[in-house]
Amino acid sequence: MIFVTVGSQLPFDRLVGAVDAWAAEHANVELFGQVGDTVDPPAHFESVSTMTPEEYQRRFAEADLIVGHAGMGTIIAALEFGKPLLMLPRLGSLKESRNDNQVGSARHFRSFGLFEVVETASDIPERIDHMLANLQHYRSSTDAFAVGDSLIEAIREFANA
Amino acid sequence: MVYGSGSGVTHKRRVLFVSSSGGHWVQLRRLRPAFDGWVRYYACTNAGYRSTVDPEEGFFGVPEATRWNKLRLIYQAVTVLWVVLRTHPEVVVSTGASPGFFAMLFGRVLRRKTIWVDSIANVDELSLSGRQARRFADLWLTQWEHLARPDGPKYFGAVL
Repeated sequence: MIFVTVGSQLPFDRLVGAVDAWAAEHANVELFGQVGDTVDPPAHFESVSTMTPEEYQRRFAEADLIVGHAGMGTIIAALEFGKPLLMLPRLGSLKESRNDNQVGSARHFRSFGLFEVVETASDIPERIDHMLANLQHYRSSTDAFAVGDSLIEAIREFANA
Repeated sequence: MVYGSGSGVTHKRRVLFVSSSGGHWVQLRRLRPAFDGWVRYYACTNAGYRSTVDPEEGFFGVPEATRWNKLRLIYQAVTVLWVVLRTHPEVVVSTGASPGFFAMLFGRVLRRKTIWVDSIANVDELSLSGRQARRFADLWLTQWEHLARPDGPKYFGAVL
């Protein structure tokens, strides 16, 4: 199952549209979307606007591949569940976000073994094909995902001072 | 069940975590280990998260607001103030955004220790709320080494 998630902040039609086009040609692959305020909901896969945290976690757990925006909630969940994630960063210039900080997040996290980043929506179909064909390649260890001890220690020390 | 505040039910130390929903919340929750053994309260703009906290932890919903809607912001601020008064925390922690800013503000006014951990999403510069929280945060942190400055924000690592 491919889980498509764009958060709940603003519409993200660029991403949903591109995945929908891919889905139209891959009727054999199951997809489910959380598409927020996206104006044109997908025609070729089931989707909801928002979901409960439990539902979100369940979809993540069941998915083979996540396609989503480069929101930190999505990135952290992908790390927690060890799921391959294809990201298209929201752009402030297209009013998909209040600023371009998703571009920065994507740039930083693309070096993590689980992630792929595309700059334009037109690259999404080909990248989904590539990731689906190489899923085992992305099943990297989640060991890297430990809370930074130094941060926790600094906060603990400050709180106890 | 949450512990009563100041009622003598418990002598455990209390901490209040405040953030908006999504990534801020996920990061906030990851700071829990710093407060093992404390009574932990949370306040978030997504009331649905109540079911995701541990049974012994407390949870309060606060209204959503954007910086463009002043009335909602005031409503949010008053709610955050109410939560701070109600939970009577020794330490207030936030990862963002506006509810966290108000938590820093009221925490400072009420002489609580305040900790701001700016979201890891802010790679190129500190968030707006993070910059505004500077005046009220006793510990003012970024999760990016390159954003740290001698006079703050400080960098001690990241939640991942």
